[in-house]
Amino acid sequence: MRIRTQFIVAMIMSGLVLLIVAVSVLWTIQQIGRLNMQEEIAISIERGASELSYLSNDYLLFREDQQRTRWETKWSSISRDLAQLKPSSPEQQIIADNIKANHLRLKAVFDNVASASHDTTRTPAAESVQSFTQVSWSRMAVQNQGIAFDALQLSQIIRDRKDQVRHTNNQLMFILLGAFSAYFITNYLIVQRRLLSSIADLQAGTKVIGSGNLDFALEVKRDDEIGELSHAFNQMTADLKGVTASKSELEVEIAEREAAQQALHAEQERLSVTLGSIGDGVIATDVNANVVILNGVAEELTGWTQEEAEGKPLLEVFDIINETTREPAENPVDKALKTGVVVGLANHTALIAKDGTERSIADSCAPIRALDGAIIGVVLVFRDVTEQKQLENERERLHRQVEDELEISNLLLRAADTLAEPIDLNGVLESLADIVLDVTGSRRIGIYLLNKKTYELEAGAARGESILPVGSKFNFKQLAPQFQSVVYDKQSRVIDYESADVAEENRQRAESLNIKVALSVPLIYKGDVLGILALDNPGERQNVTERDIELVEGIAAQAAVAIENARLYEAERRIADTLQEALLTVPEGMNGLGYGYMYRSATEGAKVGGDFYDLFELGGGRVGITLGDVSGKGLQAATLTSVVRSTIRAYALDGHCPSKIIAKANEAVRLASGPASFVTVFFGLLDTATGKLTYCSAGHPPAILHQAAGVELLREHSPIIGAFADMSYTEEETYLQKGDSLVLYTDGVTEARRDEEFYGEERLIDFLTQAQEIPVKEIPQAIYNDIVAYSGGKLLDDIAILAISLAGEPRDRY
Amino acid sequence: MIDIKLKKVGVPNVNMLTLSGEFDLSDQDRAQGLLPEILTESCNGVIVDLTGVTYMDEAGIETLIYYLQELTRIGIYMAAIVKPESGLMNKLKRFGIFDCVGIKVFSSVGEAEAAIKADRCK
Repeated sequence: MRIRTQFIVAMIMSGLVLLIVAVSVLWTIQQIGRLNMQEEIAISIERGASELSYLSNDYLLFREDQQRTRWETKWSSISRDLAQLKPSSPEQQIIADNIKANHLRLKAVFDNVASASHDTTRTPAAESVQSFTQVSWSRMAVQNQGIAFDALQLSQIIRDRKDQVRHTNNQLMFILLGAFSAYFITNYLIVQRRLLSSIADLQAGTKVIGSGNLDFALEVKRDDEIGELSHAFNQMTADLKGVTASKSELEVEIAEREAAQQALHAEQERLSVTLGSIGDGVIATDVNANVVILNGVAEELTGWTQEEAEGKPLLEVFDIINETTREPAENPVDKALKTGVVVGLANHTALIAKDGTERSIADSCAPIRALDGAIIGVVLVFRDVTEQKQLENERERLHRQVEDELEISNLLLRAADTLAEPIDLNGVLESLADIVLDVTGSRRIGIYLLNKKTYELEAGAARGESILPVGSKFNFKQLAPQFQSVVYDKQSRVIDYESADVAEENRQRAESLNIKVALSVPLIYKGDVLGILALDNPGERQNVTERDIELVEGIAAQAAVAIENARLYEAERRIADTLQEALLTVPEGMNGLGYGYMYRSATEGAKVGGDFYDLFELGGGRVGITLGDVSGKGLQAATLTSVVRSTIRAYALDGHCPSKIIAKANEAVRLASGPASFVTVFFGLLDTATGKLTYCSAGHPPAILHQAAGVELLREHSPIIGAFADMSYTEEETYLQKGDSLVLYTDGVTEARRDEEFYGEERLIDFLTQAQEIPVKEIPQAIYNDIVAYSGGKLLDDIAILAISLAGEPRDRY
Repeated sequence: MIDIKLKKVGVPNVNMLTLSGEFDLSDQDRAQGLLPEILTESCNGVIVDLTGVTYMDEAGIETLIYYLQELTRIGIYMAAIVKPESGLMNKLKRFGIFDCVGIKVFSSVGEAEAAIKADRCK
């Protein structure tokens, strides 16, 4: 509760108490006055009763009207007093009622006496008068005494009541005063305590703040005037702190400004020293691009002194050009002023000094801004990079050189890979032509092989317009001496056919072929020139670089090796082909036997394969049938083929059974072959008279016996021959009927592929089942055609197929 | 081109050569040239895993025979792992290498390891 409210409540309480006291006093006075009056009335009545008693005696004695009147007057006086009597309690009322009753009875007695005195007829004797008088006196005395006694008693009661009122009033006064005093004292003490406590807090807070602690704040515990005072006190403290802080900041700012001024001064000194000692040229301009300051290096590089340059347009002092075009370079200052960003100098910028000295420079130009961001000038920083540029140019040159060499190496590696792929001479020459055109960008090339015996050059590969076709030959010695020197000197040469050194005849020939400048490179293998490689751009004076020559020479060296290898391979192949051709020869016809056969080498990897077949008569209607596959390729395979074929023939003629013959062939091959070489072979002895076929299949795909009833696979599980010694071989037998066909094949048939899928045994059987009408002589070609159709003509292995049937009906086998 | 990896297996001193892909003539020299690497000083057994081989021509067979010849010559055990019922398995069976030549064939590495362990316990 607020203190003000407390005071108001106290005042109201005090007023109420005083009002109650005043009312009580007034009421008491009034009550006492009323009781005094009632008491006087009662006393008056009591006295009147005494007088009436006297007047009654007097009347009774004298019986005169005067006494009567006096008595009646007095009685009336008492009646008035009785009328004024206001009893305030039942007890008083009873007494008052008794008095009134006695008063009325007194009147009645008196009136009776009075009437008796005036009635003459009824005049009693003396004795009777005395008795009457006595009786009447007694009656009136009784009434008068009763009235007096009651009046006296009533006055006494009223007096007691008056005392009681006074006493009660006094008690009330004391109680009220006591209660008010207690309230006042308590209220006073509480308010005083609160005030004193709060004042003490304020006093303590004042001391704390006075000591300089402006962070102090009084704890506001109350919501009254003291609380407001505490708030105001705290606000005052905060304001004081703010004022103090502002003052401190002001002092700090003043100190900082002083320090900044000192720093600025020092910075100006440092800037001056720095600009003087900096390694780069520095030029500062105003917003109009007029020179304001330039340091010592800038003076040196531009040839202008500070005094000469100050106020001059920058471009007059800072004269820059493009090193390559020699045109004025873009002005970086204007750009920096316009764009407000740092601008770098364009590459290849050169500074022309006042004395005409030219230097390569680099670096940048940056705008200078005022505090409000407005551009007030630019600062141009530049340095002499002439030496650095020379180093960079050298580095770039070396880098290009390394890159060129790396590229050449990569191209040569690629060329080596490409040239290694083909194994035939034409393939090598075609690849060589493509590679050289690819890496040099030339549009025409001719590769000519030299026949040293005839001195003829033969075109082996050609690309481009008006080029001599492949296979065309010409006399080497009729060519330009410059061209011939490539062979004689074994060195590459760039021949300018338009130069005066070239004879007219040769120039005209070159002109007819639209040759202007050509590069000719010898193909050299172990010191021998195998041929010449010539390239040019028809109708153009081709710019042949050292790199081109180096590159083509590298490729030519590899090509020469590949050409020589291809030649050797071709020689070997020719031998192998010849040998295999001889080995694959079968008789044109045999008694009692129909047959067809074929051999095709693989289209991929053109080495001579090891597939072979053989048919030979043994006499007595017996025929030896061989079909095999020698592992490996080339001459070695052909040699092994010869060994197998001749061994089988020899032992067959000697009358051995197939398993024995194959066992002998195993030993022969094992001795003749290198490690791990092996042969799969089917060998059968067919008795054309009985149709009996005894056979041994050593690791070979099963032969297919195609009969009217169906197809039978002649599986016989003997191992391969040639790999291991002392192997055991077995044999089986079956019978052919007329119309049956026995089909032998190598795994080049079943392993022919279309993508990842093989032609397979089942497909071969299906084909034979559906090809029953094909004559036996045509079966091998038909199978081959089906394989080619299946594989898309891409055969990865050699193929040998042999189909046999009996020409006539066999006799009874038993 | 065949992919060739050489690694150890769960049996001490046994190396495993894993071939995968197609084996043809162009792979022969590379594969045969690995033999010295296979035959480390402590090696006394070689497993050739052929389960990943999709095609093997006669050059591949030659290589297997070459391995077997060389290993047999110096007394080292050799086993092959071939996918059962595969074209390669049929081809090897037809060539008689399993039955007559001496290469032991299994269908998994575990089988091969167990066989080698058992063989050593004899």
